[in-house]
Amino acid sequence: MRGLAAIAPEQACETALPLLGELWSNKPYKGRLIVLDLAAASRRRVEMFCALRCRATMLDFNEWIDGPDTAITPGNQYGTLDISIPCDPQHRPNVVLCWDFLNYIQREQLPALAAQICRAGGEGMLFHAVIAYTADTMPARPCHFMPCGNGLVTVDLPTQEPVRSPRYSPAALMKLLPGFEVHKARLLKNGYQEYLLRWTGTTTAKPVMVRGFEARPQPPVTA
Amino acid sequence: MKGDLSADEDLLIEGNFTGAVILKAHRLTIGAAGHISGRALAKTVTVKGAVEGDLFATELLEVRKGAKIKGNLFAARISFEDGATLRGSVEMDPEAVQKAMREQFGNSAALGEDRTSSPIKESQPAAVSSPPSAMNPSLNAPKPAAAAAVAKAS
Repeated sequence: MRGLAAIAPEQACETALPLLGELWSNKPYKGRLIVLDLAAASRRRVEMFCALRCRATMLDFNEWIDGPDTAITPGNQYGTLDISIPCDPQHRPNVVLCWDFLNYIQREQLPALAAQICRAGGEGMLFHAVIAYTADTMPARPCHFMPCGNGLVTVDLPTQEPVRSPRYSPAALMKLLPGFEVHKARLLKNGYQEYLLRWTGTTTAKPVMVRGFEARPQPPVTA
Repeated sequence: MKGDLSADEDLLIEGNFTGAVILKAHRLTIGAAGHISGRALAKTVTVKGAVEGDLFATELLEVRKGAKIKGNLFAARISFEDGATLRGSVEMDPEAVQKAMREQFGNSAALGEDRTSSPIKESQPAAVSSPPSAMNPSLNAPKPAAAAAVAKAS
């Protein structure tokens, strides 16, 4: 057993996410930092955003996957999602933090999520994600990432038995996330691939129906 | 209690309040039993209860364990305890915070100046008390907020 899932249950581990550290130090985004964080607000996250002097919107994706209709399928991915990312034209995010969330969404629903993010985001938006790659198993639930500075995060692992990971290749991921291209990628020691994707400003996804809303390709947004 | 409330001393809210709270140079505490619907501005804001609306602090905004906030937080310094929930955004860019305060409360808001307005007009028994009475059980009965605050009914 490899990867994060190999760590004993109820154990937290410290992991380096070098691209996340570079993101904060090199500031490759355009304009002032506006973050869309797909995780619940926590002390460590707010401390990180406070240090960055940014605007951050935190959405707890667990609320999307904990509904009564989100049974885990044999593929160990969540069945349906009520994805609703608010769109504020005054504050379009230029950085999206996705953590390990993509591993837990059904493959068919990734384009819809990408379309929602593109609709909300601004030109040149960067998308940070951690995807199981050589790690063939992963925790059964998304991990709780607690930033502790300089690209280091403490990962609080769920206690359930590990499950099979989807192991998306970079090419497969790009097909599933229309409009994004790999800006940087780095393989981590735990078998996960850390990605920094950049939105190219065009979305070619066909309309995808997800329970509760219809996500359509959106025209490019200019600053 | 409903209305807009501004005060020239620290304020503790334990109970329901609907409207705007403005304590530009003082501390606002929304106690564990407190629930406000509306925006609030203070020098320091401490949230232990529930809020539906935007919160602005000129110095520090503290969100304590058990707090439930549905709205946006504006402060250059925000302290957030695990166990609190937030549905909304946090704005911690000092310039953006000042701009938002000016838009919402006028130019004096960003400077932390205190102002009071017309006499209070209550639509319900007030569940607002100042910190000294909250610390003294004998004085804990809800009382009109007029002694602690001057409010303008909306």
